[in-house]
Amino acid sequence: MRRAWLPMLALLAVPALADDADPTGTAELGVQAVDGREESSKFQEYREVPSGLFLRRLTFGVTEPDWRLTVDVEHPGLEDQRIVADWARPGKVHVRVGYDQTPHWISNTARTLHRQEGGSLSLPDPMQQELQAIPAATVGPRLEEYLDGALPVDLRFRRDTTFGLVDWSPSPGLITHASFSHEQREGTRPVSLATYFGVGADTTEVAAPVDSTTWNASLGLEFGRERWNVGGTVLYSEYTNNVAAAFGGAAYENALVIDNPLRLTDASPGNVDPLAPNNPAGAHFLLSQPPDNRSLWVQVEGTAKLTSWMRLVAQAGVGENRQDELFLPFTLNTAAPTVTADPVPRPVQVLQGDLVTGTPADRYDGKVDLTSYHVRLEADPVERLDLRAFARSYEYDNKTPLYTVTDYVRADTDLEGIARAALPFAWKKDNLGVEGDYRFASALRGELGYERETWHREFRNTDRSHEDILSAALSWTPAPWVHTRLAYRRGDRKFDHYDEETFFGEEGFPEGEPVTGAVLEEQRLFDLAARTRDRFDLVARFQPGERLSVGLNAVVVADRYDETELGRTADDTRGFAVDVAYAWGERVTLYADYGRDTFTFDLDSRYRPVTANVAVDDPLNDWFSHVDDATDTVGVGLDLVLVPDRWTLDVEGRWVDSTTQYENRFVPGGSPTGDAPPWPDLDNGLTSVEGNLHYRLSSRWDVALGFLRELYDQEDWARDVMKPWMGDVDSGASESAFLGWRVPDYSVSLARLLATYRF
Amino acid sequence: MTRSALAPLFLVPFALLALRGSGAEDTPSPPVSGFAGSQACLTCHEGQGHTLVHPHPDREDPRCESCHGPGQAHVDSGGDPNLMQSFAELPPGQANARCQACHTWQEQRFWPASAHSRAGVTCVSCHAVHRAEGANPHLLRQPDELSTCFGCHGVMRTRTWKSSHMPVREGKLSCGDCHNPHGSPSEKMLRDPSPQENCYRCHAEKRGPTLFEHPPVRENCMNCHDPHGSMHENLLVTRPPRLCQNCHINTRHPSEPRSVTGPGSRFAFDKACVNCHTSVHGSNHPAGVRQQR
Repeated sequence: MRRAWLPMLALLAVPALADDADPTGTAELGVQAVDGREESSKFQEYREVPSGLFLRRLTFGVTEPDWRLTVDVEHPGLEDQRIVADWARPGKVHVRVGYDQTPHWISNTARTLHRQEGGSLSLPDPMQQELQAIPAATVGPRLEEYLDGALPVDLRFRRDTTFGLVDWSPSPGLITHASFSHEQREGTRPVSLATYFGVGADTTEVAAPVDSTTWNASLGLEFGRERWNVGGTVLYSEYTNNVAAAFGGAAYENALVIDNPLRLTDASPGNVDPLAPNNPAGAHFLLSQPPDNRSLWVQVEGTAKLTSWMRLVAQAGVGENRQDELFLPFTLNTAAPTVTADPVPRPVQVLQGDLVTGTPADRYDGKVDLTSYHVRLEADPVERLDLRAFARSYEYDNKTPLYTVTDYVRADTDLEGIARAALPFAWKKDNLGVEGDYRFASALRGELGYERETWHREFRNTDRSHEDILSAALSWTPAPWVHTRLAYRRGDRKFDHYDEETFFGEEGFPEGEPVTGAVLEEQRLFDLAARTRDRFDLVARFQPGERLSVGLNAVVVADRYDETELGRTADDTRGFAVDVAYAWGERVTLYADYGRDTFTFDLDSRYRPVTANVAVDDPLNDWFSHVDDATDTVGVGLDLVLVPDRWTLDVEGRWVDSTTQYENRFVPGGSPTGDAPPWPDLDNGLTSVEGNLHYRLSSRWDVALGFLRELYDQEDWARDVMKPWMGDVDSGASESAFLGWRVPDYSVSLARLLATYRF
Repeated sequence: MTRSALAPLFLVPFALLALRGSGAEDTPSPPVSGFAGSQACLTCHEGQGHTLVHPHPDREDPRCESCHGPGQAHVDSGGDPNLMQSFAELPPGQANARCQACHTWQEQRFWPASAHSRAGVTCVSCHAVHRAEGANPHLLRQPDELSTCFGCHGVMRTRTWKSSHMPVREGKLSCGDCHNPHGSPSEKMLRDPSPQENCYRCHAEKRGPTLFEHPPVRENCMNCHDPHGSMHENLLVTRPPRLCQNCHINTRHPSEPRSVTGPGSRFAFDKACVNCHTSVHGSNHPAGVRQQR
């Protein structure tokens, strides 16, 4: 709460009040009983719902003819508290300062054997010593016994943000702007890693520390006259990851050192201690965490009325993202080889450059130049016609040098035996378009538009693709209380050339992997593939008078990847929502809404094993998955004035239900591994009912009796099954250690008495 | 975390009450030709004057005609409504022009060619300058931003209610934190030049660059995430392994369709692929080529 003093100090510096200062404000103090709030992290995922006496809100405001001040304090002293102070002389100066805490509670069921200190997560030595040496068949059951004693650990973190801004207009036509924010994030989150397949692919999951700081600052200036204005802004952002791990007398920044449950001493398949032969891998895993980075962005923008019927809008910006952290060691595993033999004996190291001409590098020199511009010309040459032309571009120009690793230690175990290139992916997106709309009548307007979107990419399967987009819309406003708009967009994306052989993934870096047929030539990546997109949007509002309001919204997006044989072949998004509000007299207001949102996609795939370094391509191993997500929500509410100026009642209910259905099919024959088994549905639902009965004691005092009943349930085969030892679910996981984190169902009841004082 | 600041919070308003000063007085200007002057308006529309929440320099002179236009003819006719234009009845362009006489800077600069403007949305569709109670900082017609946006974008309401969501319905984020409803040069009226830049404002740890990149991550966060809400953890559009198998189906274990129980299900339960490939947003580790470190 100490950061909240910043806005408080600002209040005390506010100039003297006017003679007739008439401050207003409220204070809400209550007492609350909550049953079930600790059952699940989900109920308080982003909030704290207190039990007992609590201060819900404080507001304070002064409105004078030439200035105003507001202070708003929400949930003071709680995990989700927020305070914002706002002072303004309209048209002259505006100052805002604030402090916000936003928690994020991931799970309350996790358990771990690891002890965390900074970025180091350690285990008791005797456990590791035992597990690396006992008979191999007993490792899993013995690990299970250890994990039965794992201790609870809360998976949650919190963002604490201090922010402020000043807008100042020293003279008419000139505005200066400055802002800052400082975010501190602390807590824990689930992180996991595994050893290599050759030594079991055993997963270790830990409660990793979160400790980072992000600074954002901006300065801007805007200047103009009646027919034009120009402005410029400089934005700077800096992210610092404060997690560091101490190991062996060294400190590893932006990294975790995690003890391997199965090893106390280092080993690798080629370096096995006969007294400790189990799972020959490193005793400690070295895992990188997000590196420090910074960004600078400068933009200028302006508008100009060229003539009475033509206007120009332009914005351009340049920026740079930088990341230049020291490289971590390849591994802490002292038993892993440090010399690679491919193609000639040489150290395992990072080279800046390629294998032949590269030089050793100990630090990343990551630099991305960003460029963006947007120019738009708007004209209404005749009364009913508006025309627009625009050009927009965004370029992610990766100036980072090419890096090559001469080899690498796979999963803290042993060498892969293949060099790898770290490619500086880059891309650029350009949009050019024209639009026109014509008012057929005062109530009817039509629009047509054409846009061409072009992508240029480096180091991906396509280096150039373009999409032609046609758009049309009709807006109909037959009466002031009727607004409807129907819009349609059709996009047709094609690529100039799709190079299946250039697969920049594990099998296909330029240095390659010696597997014949590694590339699945029939596959197209959905973000690159040829695609048609049809999109419909409908928005309608009807407000016949003050009492009734009806809204309709529908969205349909259909993507088809007709040239894709394997990969995503289709996806559809459909949304529909309706809301109604009705005021019956002065005392009753009813409102209700219904919404449905679905997302489906089709995946055509093929199981391709590798035998004797040859990828087996057998259409009998084809399989298909259709995934169907659907969410329905219903909300109803009632505001009732029981006795004017005395008793009011408000009740609100919300029901949400989400389901994912998987339809898996396969071609009979071939390998059984390619036979896609059925998957259970995923399901989660929320039901919430809240009500408040208010009584106005006097012009200054209100009391309210409130209740909340909220239920959440989920059926998630991937999450509900989790516990620290999963060997009984998958025998291949018998030597893995998980946190066992779940998101349990909850059933919460809350009763509250709240007193509000107004002044 | 302490809860020690409650008492001083109560003291602040009283401290300010003790301060005194004088405010500037503004003398009403004499009516200009065609304009009747605010006092003439208030003769019949006294209530409107009291409910005006839009800032105006003189508490006694709300300057009605600065927005509603000259009213002398309306007054002379004894209040003929046809001689005063209602904002609700004006074509959107004309209605908005009144507000844009002053509000053409900063947030509103890109309004004329914005998607909302082209859709016929007017300033008064969302904002209400005449409302004494419940006035909020943006003078919205609805109690808050979400209600305002959901009035037309009801499908987005549905998405914010999904189980995996950003803290929008908890009041920590609103639509305006990512989108500028008054228009912007970027697609979808985003505040930043690209979707990724928008996300990096709160998720700067993902900004990179990193040694081993994951290209679709760098191009567009929405290749994998739905920022408005999802029923899958971490706002993913679908759950791994199916999410990852949209691209990673070349050979071996990524190409297996997987069971969710029994042997091999560790590739499906918990975080599925991310159980091992933990650095999916990019790895700065020299051994991170497969995003495992």
